[in-house]
Amino acid sequence: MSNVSSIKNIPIENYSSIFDFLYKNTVEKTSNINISSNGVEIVDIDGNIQEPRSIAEFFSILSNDTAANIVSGLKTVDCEYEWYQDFVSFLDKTVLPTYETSCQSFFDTVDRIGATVTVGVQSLGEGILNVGEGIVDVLILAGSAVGTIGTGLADLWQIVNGNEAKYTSELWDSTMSTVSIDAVGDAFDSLYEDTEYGRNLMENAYFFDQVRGIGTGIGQVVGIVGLSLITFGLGSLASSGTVSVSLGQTSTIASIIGFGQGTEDAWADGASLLEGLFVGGANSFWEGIQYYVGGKIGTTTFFGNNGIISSITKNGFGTKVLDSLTRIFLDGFDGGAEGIVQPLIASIYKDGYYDESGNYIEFTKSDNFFKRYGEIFSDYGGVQNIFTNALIGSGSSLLGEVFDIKRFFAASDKNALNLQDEILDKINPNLDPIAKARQAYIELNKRLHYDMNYAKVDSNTKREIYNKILSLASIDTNNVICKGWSELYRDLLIECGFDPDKVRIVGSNKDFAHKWVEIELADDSLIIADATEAIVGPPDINKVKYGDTMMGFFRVTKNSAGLRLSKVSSDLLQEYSKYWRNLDKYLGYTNESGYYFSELINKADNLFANSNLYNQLLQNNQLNNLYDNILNLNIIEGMDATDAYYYYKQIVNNLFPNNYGSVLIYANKLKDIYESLVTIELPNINFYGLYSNSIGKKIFNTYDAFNKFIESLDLSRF
Amino acid sequence: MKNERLKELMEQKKNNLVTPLDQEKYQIVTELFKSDDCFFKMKMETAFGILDFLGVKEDEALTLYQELISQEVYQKVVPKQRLGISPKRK
Repeated sequence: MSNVSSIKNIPIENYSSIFDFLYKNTVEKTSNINISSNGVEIVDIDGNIQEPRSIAEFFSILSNDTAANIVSGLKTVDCEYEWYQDFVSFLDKTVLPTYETSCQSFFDTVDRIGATVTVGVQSLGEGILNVGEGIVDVLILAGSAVGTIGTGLADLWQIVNGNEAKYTSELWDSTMSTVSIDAVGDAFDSLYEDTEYGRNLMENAYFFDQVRGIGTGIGQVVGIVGLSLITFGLGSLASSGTVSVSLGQTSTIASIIGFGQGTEDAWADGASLLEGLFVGGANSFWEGIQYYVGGKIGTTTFFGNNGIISSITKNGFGTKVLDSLTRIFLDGFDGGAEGIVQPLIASIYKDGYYDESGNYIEFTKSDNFFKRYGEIFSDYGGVQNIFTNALIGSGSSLLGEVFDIKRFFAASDKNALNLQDEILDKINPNLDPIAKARQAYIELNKRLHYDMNYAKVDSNTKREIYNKILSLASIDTNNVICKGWSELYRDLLIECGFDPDKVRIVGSNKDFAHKWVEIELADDSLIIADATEAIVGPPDINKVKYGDTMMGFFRVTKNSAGLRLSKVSSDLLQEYSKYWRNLDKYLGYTNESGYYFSELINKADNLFANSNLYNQLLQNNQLNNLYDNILNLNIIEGMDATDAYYYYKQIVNNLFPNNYGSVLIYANKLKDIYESLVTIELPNINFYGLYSNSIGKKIFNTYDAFNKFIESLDLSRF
Repeated sequence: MKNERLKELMEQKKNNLVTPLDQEKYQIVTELFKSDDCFFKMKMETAFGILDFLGVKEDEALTLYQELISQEVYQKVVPKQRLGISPKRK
């Protein structure tokens, strides 16, 4: 008989029992094919094979038989040395019992921690689903409210005909029985009570009720914020190209959900129809306030240069952490207040309380408000309930602060410009809103340039640039277009303490539409800020660098919302610009006499033109030496091609104001990376130069030689 | 203005303002020099006119102006710029 064995076999006889714990015994069924004169016979054979344990399995059984196996293995070794026998006896009698107990309790703890985390995570989901149920409840209530119009008419008809009016009461009985069901809560209760998986979690998790309660609470906050982003956020995306939601919008969503949840809880607790609706209204009001206050806390800067308390520290990581901890702490108060308000709302319908033995005691007429509130407060969990809700508030806040601090770290990346802190350092936090907005406008524009290549790239690239959302904390370029500038300016204003509700990015919804910023002031006037459109002369993003009068920042009445400044007559704008001079002097944008730097330059051009010195240098052809010296110099260490580009742009403009050549910047492709390359073309003096980090500086005396070299490179515009 | 030579020239000129025009010019130059990067924002002809007003001679003027608009000074007085975004398709 021939045996064809397919059993995998690991020889085990070479290993002593000490190492048995490294392997596990598994039984694998295989088949032998026996070929005999009787024909082909297939026989199932059980093969015992030893497979090495995985790391996870190894650690999972370490505390169980393993330690005992090791010791018993050691005991089987026949060793004559007394020290060995004493050692094994020590392990067996002293170490092993303690080890097993310690490991067991360690892994028990690990198991319990795992169960606790699992309950926490599941509860987040329960909280989010509760928000969904709240929406359903509100829709049912709204539907019944509308339906009451019909049933009311039907009942009226019944009454007129001498019959019982029943339709409205039937509608609302049905509504009450549907809404009062806590479908999500019941489902999760069933998970924890009726399934082995859930029971295991409930029995092993630390502080199961508290963890579930807090997790559910935080999950509800996540759900409400998420729902706000989906509803109002999409609206802002359509109008301004950015997803943003205001405090008012979030608190509106919270109010709506609060109405459904409040009504559900009250009806489930035995409240009458009207009592339940009244509780829903009160809860709606409270949730709206709570989320608004929470949102205010979340957007307030407490420390640093723009903090409301004091400038304890300059803007920096320490200030950021202090701010976050303060917000988390205050959100704890905001959340904890729930523990005081909820019993108050419940007192609308509660007619009794549960005593310590669990008996329901009805209130009597002699029980005053404080007695009733006190008993209901205890039923709700008393001080512990306040603490639990405070943890929900702080926990939700912590989630938000983690992402905010992450954004701060993103700005610490070496490629980020760290513009946010640099600009905030320059802004006086004690200025009134108009002055603060103007100073922010000036400081931002000093550091940004309009992306001149935007108009020259293909439409796909253009769309990519246009749709990219910029953030002040993580921007890695000085080049922007209108939409990006608007996003950065809005970011900056919010960091300065402006209400996000009051700062809007406006402009048409069309592709590549021009965008600018409107700021709503307390007196209902508006500030229009548009630094990237050429309104009167160059755009302000250029003008600010020369200390010139700005034309893109104006205060108008609220009726002018949506006004694009380029549509306003330039005479009117120039007339209005005079009114900013005093403020600009206060902000240090003009000199002490109130002159803009550009006005000083214009005066200087007139006063110092046609000097003897200049004429002498011209006559003696000495300016050619100057051009040679400046243009032929190597780029110094620490100056890259981008710096060289901006440097030569200014120098060439000053040297040849009437006969301007061109200074351009390209991307030069080197295998898989790009580098910046600057070209300088000055045909009037036959100077053609280029510079990049890899090529260095090259100068050509003819355009042909220059152009030939350029064509040999793989250049594209930025 | 951080350039020591210019500070010296301004000090000397301060005691030598003869006419009201001189005083006006001196006032303008004082205001301009409050910006460290002023020479990067004015035409070359204007810059030489200021140096002439301060008494700089022809043999010194080119060297001084070259120093005032050098890459080293530019690096010190103008904030670093970065284009950042990687280049796009042609």
